[in-house]
Amino acid sequence: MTNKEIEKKIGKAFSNAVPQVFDEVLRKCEKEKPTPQTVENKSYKVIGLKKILSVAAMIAIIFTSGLAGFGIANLDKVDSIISFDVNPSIELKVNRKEKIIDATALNEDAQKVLGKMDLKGSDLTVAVNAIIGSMLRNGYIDELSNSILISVDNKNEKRSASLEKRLFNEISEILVDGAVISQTLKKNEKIIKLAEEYGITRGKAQLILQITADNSKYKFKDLAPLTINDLNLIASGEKVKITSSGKASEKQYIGKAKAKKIALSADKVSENDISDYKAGLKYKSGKMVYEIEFKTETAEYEYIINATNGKIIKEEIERKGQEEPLTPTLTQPTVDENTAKASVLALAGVGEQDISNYICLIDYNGEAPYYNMSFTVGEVLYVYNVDATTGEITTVQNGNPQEEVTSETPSEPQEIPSSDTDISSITESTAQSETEQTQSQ
Amino acid sequence: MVFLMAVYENLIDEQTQNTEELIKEIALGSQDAFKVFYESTKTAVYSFALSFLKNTHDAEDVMQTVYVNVYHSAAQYTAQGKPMAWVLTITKNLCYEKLRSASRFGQIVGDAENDISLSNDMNIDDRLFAEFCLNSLKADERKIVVLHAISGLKHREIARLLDLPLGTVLSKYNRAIGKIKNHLQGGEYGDQ
Repeated sequence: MTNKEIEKKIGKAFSNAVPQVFDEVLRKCEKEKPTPQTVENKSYKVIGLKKILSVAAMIAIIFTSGLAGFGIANLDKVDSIISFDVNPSIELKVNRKEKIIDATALNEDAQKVLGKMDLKGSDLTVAVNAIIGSMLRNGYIDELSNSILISVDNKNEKRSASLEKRLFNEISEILVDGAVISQTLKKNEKIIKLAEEYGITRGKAQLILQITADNSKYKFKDLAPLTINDLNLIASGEKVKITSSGKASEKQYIGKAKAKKIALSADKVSENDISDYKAGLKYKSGKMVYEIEFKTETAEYEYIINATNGKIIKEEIERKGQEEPLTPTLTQPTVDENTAKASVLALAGVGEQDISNYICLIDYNGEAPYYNMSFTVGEVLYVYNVDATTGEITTVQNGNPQEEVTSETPSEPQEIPSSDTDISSITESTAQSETEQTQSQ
Repeated sequence: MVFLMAVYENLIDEQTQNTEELIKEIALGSQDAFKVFYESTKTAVYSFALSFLKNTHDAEDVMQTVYVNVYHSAAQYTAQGKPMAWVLTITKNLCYEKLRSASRFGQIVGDAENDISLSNDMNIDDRLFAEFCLNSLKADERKIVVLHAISGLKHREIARLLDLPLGTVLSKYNRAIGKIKNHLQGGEYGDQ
């Protein structure tokens, strides 16, 4: 990723964070000092828009209108309503001659896209190109988030369908790496109500309803704030039937390949050992996640991984048989270390003040935990194993000068913090060689 | 897309000219010019305040005061080709004032131990990303990165605004971008 791309992403993220305070500012300005309007209202076009429009016009596809000849058309009558959703939501009211009667921004992002563009009276094609150009320029459509939803609403179903198809093809060609979803709006009270309630276009509401209709795990209110790109990802993940071209961008997420790597390395599973591998990008508890499942000969795995940063949110491992129990299923010691230590010292016939280099490790004999305690008294080395469930002591080394004794530990010894001493780090070497290490204070 | 980008870059210098014209109009009392000025600078102002104060309410307060100040002091602005630096200096001074008044009341503002949480109304990805930039970068790093990415200030101008040596600004910028790049590309498995 180049620095420029990163900065663009920063710009986009922060511009979405800005609250709308202009009215409040105006109020405060007027309160302190009423200023008369001495300058006539100029129309400040968005800087350079003319340049963008001419570029857009160059790439516009000119298509013949097959809809002429219906008598004298009332040019102010709304014939079709076309809405565009990416994250910004824009609604265009169009007359029979496909000229724009009105262009409305339905949210703040859309206001930014429309800026000071005056689209009234423009040809639909020109308007569409201007809007897409502005979305590209403002970073709402980019390689990280490339999906746009077109919804067409026209009383005449045939016309609706043909408009939809045309716009779909046209925009698919403009957005070479984009993903376009199109739909004809259905007359549905529920859609209208939900759209109003959540402040989104009817088109977006309809798309969300399509997703939730087949998948009750998704709630409308959770999906409403998502971008079309995310909704597109969810829809294709859940195999919802929509008319779409292109592929929704997954580039803002870590990608299925990386997620697979993370899942496999969590329990050190090798790629060659797995079967029944399933992976999907889903939306769960407020974030996009990868849901990964696979099996090995000895266990079944399920992972939920944060799609943005790769953190494992949930890990579920079901093992077949319990020959080698892992940490969570091991028996916890019931005898505490200090008690065990006291009995060991008593057995050795020494006091707390006599010993040095005290090290205590927890280890497991199959499932049974035990303490491996060692210390020196002067030059003499003592080593004991204490069963952590029964407290029973086994003497391993008692009172001989320091010499090598083979350790009987079956698996990796683990360190437990001791209140008496500082154990800086315990490596896999035998307990004896550790007592020879100097301890850091 | 590349073509559009090239066109856009050319527009930045036009933008300075236009912004200064807007300020002149604001000085004459034009609300229209004021609105356009607000729209084209609000992200830079708010983000900078946010990177300073790490608190949405305070940043919003500061933002409002900045524009009221601009409105009243537009007449005092002398065109030197640095309108953004002017606005952001106002922002910076107001942020310092906010910090001083907060510490007087015993509140901890600014380089707070607390992480910032942005509005739930935001798109999730943007929110997470902006929160990351604010929470995971050091104070100077986030100010510098935000200034460079959003307000278009050059490193030299950032150095002057923040009263830091140019070399420091450059190295902190690079470090910050590096952290963000790492985060975006997944980094280690989880940012522990």
